[in-house]
Amino acid sequence: MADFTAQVFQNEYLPAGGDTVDAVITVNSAAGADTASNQGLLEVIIVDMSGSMNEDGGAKVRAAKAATAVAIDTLDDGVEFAIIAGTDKAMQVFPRSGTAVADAASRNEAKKIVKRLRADGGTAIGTWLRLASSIHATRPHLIRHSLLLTDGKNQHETDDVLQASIDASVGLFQCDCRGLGVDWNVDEMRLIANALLGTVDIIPGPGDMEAEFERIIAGVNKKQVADVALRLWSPKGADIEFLKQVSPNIDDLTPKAVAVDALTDDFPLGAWGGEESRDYHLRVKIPAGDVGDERLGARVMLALDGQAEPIALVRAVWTNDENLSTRINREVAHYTGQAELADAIHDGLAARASGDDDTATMKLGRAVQLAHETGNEDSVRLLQKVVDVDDPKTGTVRLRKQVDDADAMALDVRSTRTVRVGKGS
Amino acid sequence: MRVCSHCGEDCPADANWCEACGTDLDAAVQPPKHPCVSCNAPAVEVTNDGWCQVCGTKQPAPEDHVVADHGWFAIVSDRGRVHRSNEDAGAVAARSTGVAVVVCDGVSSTDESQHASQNAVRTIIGRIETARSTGVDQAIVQAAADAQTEILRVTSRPTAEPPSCTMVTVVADVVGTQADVCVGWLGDSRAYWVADGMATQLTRDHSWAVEQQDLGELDQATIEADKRAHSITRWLGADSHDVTPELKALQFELPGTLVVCSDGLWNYAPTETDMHDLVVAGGSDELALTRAERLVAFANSQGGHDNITVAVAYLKPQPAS
Repeated sequence: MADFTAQVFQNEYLPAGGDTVDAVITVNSAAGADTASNQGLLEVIIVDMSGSMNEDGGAKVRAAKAATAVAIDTLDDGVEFAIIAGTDKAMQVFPRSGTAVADAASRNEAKKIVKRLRADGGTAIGTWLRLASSIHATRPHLIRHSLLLTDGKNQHETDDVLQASIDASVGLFQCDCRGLGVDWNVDEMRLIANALLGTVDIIPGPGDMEAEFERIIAGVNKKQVADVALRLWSPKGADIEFLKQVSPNIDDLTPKAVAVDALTDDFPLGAWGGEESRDYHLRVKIPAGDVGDERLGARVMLALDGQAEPIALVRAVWTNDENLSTRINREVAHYTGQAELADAIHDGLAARASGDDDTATMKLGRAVQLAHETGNEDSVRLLQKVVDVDDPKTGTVRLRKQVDDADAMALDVRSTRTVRVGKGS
Repeated sequence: MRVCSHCGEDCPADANWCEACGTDLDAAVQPPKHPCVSCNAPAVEVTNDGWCQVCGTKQPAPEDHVVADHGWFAIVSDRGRVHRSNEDAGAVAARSTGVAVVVCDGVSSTDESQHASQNAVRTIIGRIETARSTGVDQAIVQAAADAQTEILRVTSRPTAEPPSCTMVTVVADVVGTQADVCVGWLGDSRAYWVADGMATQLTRDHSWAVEQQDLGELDQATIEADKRAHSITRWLGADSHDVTPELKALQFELPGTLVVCSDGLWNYAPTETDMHDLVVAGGSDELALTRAERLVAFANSQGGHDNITVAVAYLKPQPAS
């Protein structure tokens, strides 16, 4: 079992009447000594076998099969797994029912079946999720993960059906979503990944797929505990304005709050590995105290298996000393900037898509400036494929006339990736 | 039946020790808890680490507000509104013919100065309450030396800023219709005699500002504007080169009121006139404790920028026998 620790970064000093407490909470896990007590894993791979996968002379479907084979080979011995082929319906292709336990024989059999798959039909992603849910639901004691690959939009069912399928899957498994090529919908995949505590990314071409599948499954192998939650107690009259994961990427957990009691909420964090570190930005409004008072803004606990362990305190101290109350905490400022960066990219790309070049130039210019200031070099590099940068310091940019669709999509899906404090110029 | 708080063993009701694990059952009893000072939530809502589980307010530590009341004399020491701990300490004690008062102000720029102030107060009051009237001045000098020894003993490791504190000690003995008052001090904690419509400051701060006034090279406005103005020039602590207090012996007609305080109070009433008006504002019937609490509350209402300690003693003529 992993052990969890936390560090709080905040300026606890508030001016008289101040009621807003900001804190960055870094949660770290350390591998427990007793690795035998780690929970088992269930991996359900969902691979798109719709007719569009036959485009490019079959290169996509060949790459998808090869990448799925790599994923199967990457699974650690003993991990339970199943393979779903997705079209306008979902079919469990391996094993015929239930789950298989990874060993040499089951891997070979699974790869043989994957090799024989043929791409045909439409795309109804809600049906894929529902079948995956039904498999995951039989193994509630395991760490449950899916890798979902699609190359297209959800064409053969309504948005309502997809949303209902997502809602029915919440809590049953985590899902990392990958889009192949440029014909899939970023917002659709983000909807799934956000709800199911996973990531979204673009796989630009068939040649990039094997490495990405291997990377994802290798990450899953390292998970040690499922269904971890951050539990926040805040005082009577308090209002949690937001709790966002801000590293490794931005994910607003606020709407995922599950009330434990009148003053306590759980925020699901999904599964954790033994050597992970994630940052969270909490903003809580609390009733203002008198100058000189000290109050808790929040007591941060880690909830696991119905047990909650306190890991950090977020404090508030009211003072008339402006030198103290106006101090800007570095971590809070940094992640506020990273969130603004993600918003600027998102808004800039939306304006660009709707033909509003002035807004797009302004927003993407601001994004370049923020990415430069905070040392987010990946974002700088991705932005440079969409805009020509005249001066990163002032955010002076020009929209590029020719932009590869894959580059715009990569910028969009990766806009929420953050860097940690200290990488800035 | 008593349940051991350490191992959960059921022990006989009259047991002093847990037979299973050896825990001292009396010592293991938790200190009594009080309802939340802010929202009055029941004591059960206050966690062992001192937070209210309803409104989140940090409950005051025992030393955040310390009171000793002896009727005609009393002392109150308070954390104030800014500092996170109370590094002041003070004590009052009855003498056969009068009263002894000690106030020490832990220097807040140094590490763990409450160790210095608390040890100094404990040491000095023990020496002074029983000192003979004829040798009070020498007793104060000796008590300061002993306090210094005690502070050095608890200064566990060498540090650039060792625990240190100011000290003001006052012994006031009633002789007929007069008070014999002996004051010894190091630093800027003060003693006043309040009577006949005026307050007389008995101490003279050992501070940069007062040193400059004595030198006479700078005008008062320049001195007060200097950020060193309040730096003290003498104190108790490992980095102090001379711990012999400055001494003053005075006589006053009775009745009169003795006020001894740290700069957490007098910063808001710096002149003798200010202090007089403040002290008498509560009327002539005010109890010593009420008066001390009112002065502390006044300092807090002005911002409470430092720890505040105030001792008040009413001295009256001996009834004619």
